[in-house]
This record gives sequence, structure tokens and C-alpha cells, in this order.
Amino acid sequence: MSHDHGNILPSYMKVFATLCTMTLVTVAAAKLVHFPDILFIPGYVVNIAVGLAIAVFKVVCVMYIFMHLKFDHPMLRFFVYIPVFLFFVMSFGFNLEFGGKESNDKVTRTVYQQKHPNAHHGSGHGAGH
Amino acid sequence: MSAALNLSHEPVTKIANGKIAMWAFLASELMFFSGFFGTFIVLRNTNYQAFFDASHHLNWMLALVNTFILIGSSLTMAMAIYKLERRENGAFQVYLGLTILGACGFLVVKYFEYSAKWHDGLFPSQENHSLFYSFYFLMTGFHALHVIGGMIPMLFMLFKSFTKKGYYHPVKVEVLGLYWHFVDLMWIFIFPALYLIFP
Repeated sequence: MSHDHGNILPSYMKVFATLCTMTLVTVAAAKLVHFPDILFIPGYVVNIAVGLAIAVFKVVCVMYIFMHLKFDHPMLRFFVYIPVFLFFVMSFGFNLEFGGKESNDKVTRTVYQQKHPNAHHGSGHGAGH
Repeated sequence: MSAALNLSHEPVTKIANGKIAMWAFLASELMFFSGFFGTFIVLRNTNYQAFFDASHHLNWMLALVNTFILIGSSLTMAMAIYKLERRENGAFQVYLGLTILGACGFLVVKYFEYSAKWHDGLFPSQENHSLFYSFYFLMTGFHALHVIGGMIPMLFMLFKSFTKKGYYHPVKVEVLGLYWHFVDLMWIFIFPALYLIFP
């Protein structure tokens, strides 16, 4: 029998509202906002990083509230943290250079600039190849 | 029946064994999807132009609708568990029915999306778009299979709840709920990766 979490309905509604809002923010960040270069990180990578950060936030909300990770015994979290860590290693571990081999970066920038000619490239590092 | 499925509780952590088993299964599922994401990102970075061109044929609005459907069905699934724990059978049936309806809605939208791609000749066998659409159909296809896989036990539970005996197995429904939320979690990553990552 499952344990009682008290009145959890307000938390469910908050998570639902958060997920809907953050979904719209993800779309807006991807479609409307074109971030400038930040130090050595190209703007299009910042766009992807923002989308990824929002996705991670949404996942944490679902896991902790909808999946009851917040209320269950903390030992269960190791079943989650370790696979999630491995998921990120396997998904992104091969890509730590951000596709930054110069030839790839050049193609990416060229395509991106053709699509968004007015996008600002702050540092100028590697821009305009 | 419960003993046969070993849904008793672990004495120290008080977590149902079935729940631990589901989390372990979801961990293996996560590794399965990480293979897709890892190769997708590597090939995207080395074939940016082809991926960029191909991705602009996708209808992100339909995917956005599907995102809201899945988020809604996650909420109704959580509500179904909550109501069953309180023995509110009628409300449980309504919320589980809504979850199944959400799953059907997701598949219907996916059908429209797939048929549009098929109509436009956008599938893995076509040149240039081949690589991107291999990933598109592989990732969204496996995800849709997971949706169908979740619907089957949901329909079974809903059917059983209408029988004379009723269906009062909150742990089993909670374990199914974990699976259903995982389906939502994977879509949270698939949606931006395929539809939004190419600005």
C-alpha cells in the first residue's frame, strides 16, 4: 500500500502549470531569442544550452513530484541519480567540444547566419568565417 | 495475486518491490534512449547542413500540441493514483480514462505528422534527408511504441475497475504511473532535440 503524502494536489497543479509554462519558454527561447556569443561559447550553443537547462528543470519537477521521488525513501534516489548521470555522459560525453572542430563550427555558423543575418555575435571569436 | 507479482514492501525502506523493479527497468530504458541521443548529437554536429535543412520540414506546432497532451496525461495519471489510494473508484476511472484518452490523442497527432511526412516523401530512404529522418522515425517511433505499451495495462486496469470485484491495487497503478511519467520525460528531451534545436 502506498504511503500517504497528505494533500498533494496543490503540488500536482503547481508542477502542471510549471511544465506548461516552461514548455512555452522552451519554444520561445528556441524560436524567438537568438543569444549572442558569450566569451568563447557561440550564440547557437547558448540557445541549445538554455533549451537543455529548461528540459532538465522540467524532468526534475516530474521526477520529484509526479514520480514521488521527494516522498520516497532517499535510497531510491540512487536508482535515479546514477542512470541519469550515465544518460548525460552517454548522450553528451562525445560532444564536449560542442561540435567545435573548426570545420564543423564554420558550417554551423554559416548556416545559422544565413538564417539569422541580424543575430549578434559578441566576441567575434570564430564568427564570420 | 499480489504475492505472485511480489509487490510486498522492502522492510527497511518501505518501498514496494514492484516500484524498485520499475525504477531499475526505467534505468535500462534510459540507457536505451541515451544511445539514440548520443549518436544523434554526434551525427548532427558532423552533418549540420543536412540536419538543418531536413529539420525545417518538421511541424513543431503539432509536436507542441503533443507535449501539452503528454503533460496533461501525466497529471491525470498522478490524479488517478491519488484517487485510488483514497478508494474513490469513480474518480479513479475518470482520471485513468482521461489518461488513456490523452495517449490516444498523442497517437492521433503522431499519425497526422507521419502521414504528412509520408505524403511529402520525407522518410529515411530519400537522399539528403535520409540520416535525419532515420533518427526522427526511430526516436519518435520507439517513443510511440512506449505510449502504446503503457495504454495496454491502463485499459486492462480500467476494464477491471468496472467489474463487480473492482480494482484496488494502488501499488500496481503507481508502478504503471512511473512508467507513464517516464514516457513524458523522454518526450521532454525528444521535443527540443528534434523540433527546436535547429533555430
